[in-house]
Order: sequence, then structure tokens, then C-alpha cells
Amino acid sequence: MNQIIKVLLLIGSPKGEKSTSNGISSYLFKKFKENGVKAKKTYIIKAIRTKTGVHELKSLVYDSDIIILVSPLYIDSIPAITVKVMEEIYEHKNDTFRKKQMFMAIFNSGFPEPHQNDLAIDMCKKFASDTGMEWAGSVTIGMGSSLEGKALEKLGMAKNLRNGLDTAVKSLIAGKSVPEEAEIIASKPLMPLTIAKFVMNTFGGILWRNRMNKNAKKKVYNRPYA
Amino acid sequence: MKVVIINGSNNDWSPINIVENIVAKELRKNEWEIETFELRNKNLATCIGCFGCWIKTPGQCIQKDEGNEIAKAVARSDLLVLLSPVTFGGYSFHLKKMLERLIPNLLPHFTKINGEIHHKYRYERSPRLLAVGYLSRHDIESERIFKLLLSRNALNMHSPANYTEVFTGSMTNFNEDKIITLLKNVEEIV
Repeated sequence: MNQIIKVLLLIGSPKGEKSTSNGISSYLFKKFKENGVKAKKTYIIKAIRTKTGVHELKSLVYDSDIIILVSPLYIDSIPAITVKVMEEIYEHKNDTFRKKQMFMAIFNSGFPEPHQNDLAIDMCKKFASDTGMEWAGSVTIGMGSSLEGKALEKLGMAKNLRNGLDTAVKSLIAGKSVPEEAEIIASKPLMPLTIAKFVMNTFGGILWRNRMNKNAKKKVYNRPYA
Repeated sequence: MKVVIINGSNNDWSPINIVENIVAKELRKNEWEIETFELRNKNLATCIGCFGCWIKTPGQCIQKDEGNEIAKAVARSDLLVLLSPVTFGGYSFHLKKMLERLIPNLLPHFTKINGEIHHKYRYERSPRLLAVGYLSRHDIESERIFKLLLSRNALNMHSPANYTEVFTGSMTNFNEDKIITLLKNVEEIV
């Protein structure tokens, strides 16, 4: 790939603009822009509401040189809305003229261990292979919710992630896949795993309780279907 | 014993529908109480990641559709059978959509399983899991992912046991024996 023209940041979170995935995408958007490449951000949750939206999204995908899926981990894998779009892209992959395309995936999980995202990445690799795209690399993030609603630039804990993403952007612009070192740096846990696991296991329930409404606090352990 | 069969096939002519009939027939012979849900004909909402099922109405999704009935049936079952075309190694959109609607059956609280953090299960016990996938042609990587996915799901759902089978190729000469043997193994343990 000599000259990169179009980058598509595909946001796979059902939470759309409020999501961690969007925060990461916004950072990438800025980095591509700083490097003179115009990227486009698009939200799957908005596109799948109508047939026209899905059609337009597919056109965007087919028209892009680099596609970066940024998504949360839902039940060990890719969110259903994103699976839907991937099925559509795969089904119509031979309908249009196809150029060389690169596909990268960035997954964030609420659990501390980045490796819990690994199966979703494997599925994305399979998707890239089945649709004739070149696999460009991946980043896996644990404790993704700690990034929610915050600018990546302002978070000390996201330093490794930023460094890895910066290298990834430069490589992609040069038409190369993300170097393994950059994948490893970007996928480092946001805080030491032992601490993260202890905090989550010990205080996670309290943190959730703080988000509950009055009614829910009384019924936390409710078993409506027992 | 109660079994819930969730069929995530994409169309009426999917080989997965043949698998569903065989599984139901075999389990019925052994007097299982069967509830079947064919998702392709249902207009279920997708999970919107709001966590309302934990922070507003604990144990119940705030989206009012048949997804809640299916989550209820799963919570009361001894065995959950997941049927799906293998899609990039994972489940179809239809099946994945429903699995996300089972989040209310978990608690927001955390626990450690095999050293990893997972959510606690809301109910006293979780059903065993059986997943049967279909691939139009043999694909080692898809099969590997599919099998691993079910074992990961079993961890998250606190399921005491899980079984996976993937069928490939034409279903015209479909050999039922493989499914019958698999079900016998499952029934012995349940």
C-alpha cells in the first residue's frame, strides 16, 4: 500500500458516543489527523437502525483502505450489533470492486485481564481472512471502563496504550501492519494485574452499588426467575 | 429435567434446524421437558450496555420483549442447548444477541475463577451448556474458536460442564449418531 487514502474507525459499542471505544477512536482520529490522514468515525449502533444505514456503512467499509474496529468485549466475544455488520460485509464481499484493505481490531473488556479479549481478536482475524482483508494487528485492553468518558490524552494510566497506538498509526499510514512490540505495549494492563484484581474483587460490588438506584439497592440479589 | 434449546440459525433452510429436530426428538424420548426458541422469527432487542439489569431492575432487562422470557427459561433449566451456524468462529448475530440478554442472570459482583475475574451468578445453579455449530466446509480455525468460546462462556455463566460439536458439509446424508452419542454423554452427567 503506497498511499493511504481512507481510514475508517468502526465503533462497535452499543453505547455509541458515550463508550470507551469512542474515546479510543477519538484519540486515533486525532493521531491520524496529526499525521496528515483524514479518518472517518462511524457508530455501528446508529447504522444498524435502518437498512439504509447498514448499506451506507458497508459502502464506507468497502471504500476504505484501513478499517479499525474499536469495540467492547460482550460475553467473551464481539457484540451482537457488530457481528450483524460483519455478517453483512461478508455476505456482500464480492458485490463490489475490492482493493487491498487492512483490518485492525482493538477490544476493551471490563475485566482486568487484557487476555480475556483474545477470542474476540481471533474472530476478527478470521473475519479479515474470510473477507479477503489483510490482518493489520490488534490491541487488547483490560479494565476498559476506567477509560470511559475520559480523554485518553489526560490519563496517566493510559500512557502505554497511547504509545502503542501512536506507533500503530505510523505503521498503518506507511502501509504496514502494527509491529508486535506496539501491540504488546498498547495491551499492557492499565495497572498491575494483582492490584487490579484485588481492587475489583474486593471493592467492585461497592462500586456497582454506588451506581444503583434506590430501588435496585434493596434488590441487588433479587432472583426474579427462581 | 428441563432443557432450553436456542436456535440461532439465519433461515428456514439452515442445517441447524435439522440438528434442532434431532436434539429435541432424542431428549423427548428421555422425558426431558423441552422449551425451544427459534430466534430468527423473533424481534428481540439487542443489549444496549446500559446495565439497567443490575442498577435499575436487578435480574431483569429493562427492554420488554421475549428476551426476558428466554432469560427466565434459561435460569430455570438444567441444560442449555445453543445451536448456531459458526460465524467467524463465533455465534450468529441472532444467538449472540440472545446471549447478551442473559446478563441479568449474573450479578454485578465479582469473583475469581481459575485466577481470572468474572461476575458472580445470580441463581443457585447454572445450566450445563451444549453448543452445536454448523460450517458449510471444514475449517480448523473456526472450530477451534467455537469450542474455546463455549468453554469461556461456561466460565462466565458458572456452568458446571460444557460440550461442543461442529458439523460440516452436506446435511443430506446427515449422521444422527454423532448427536445421539453426544446427548447420551450429556445426559449421563446432568
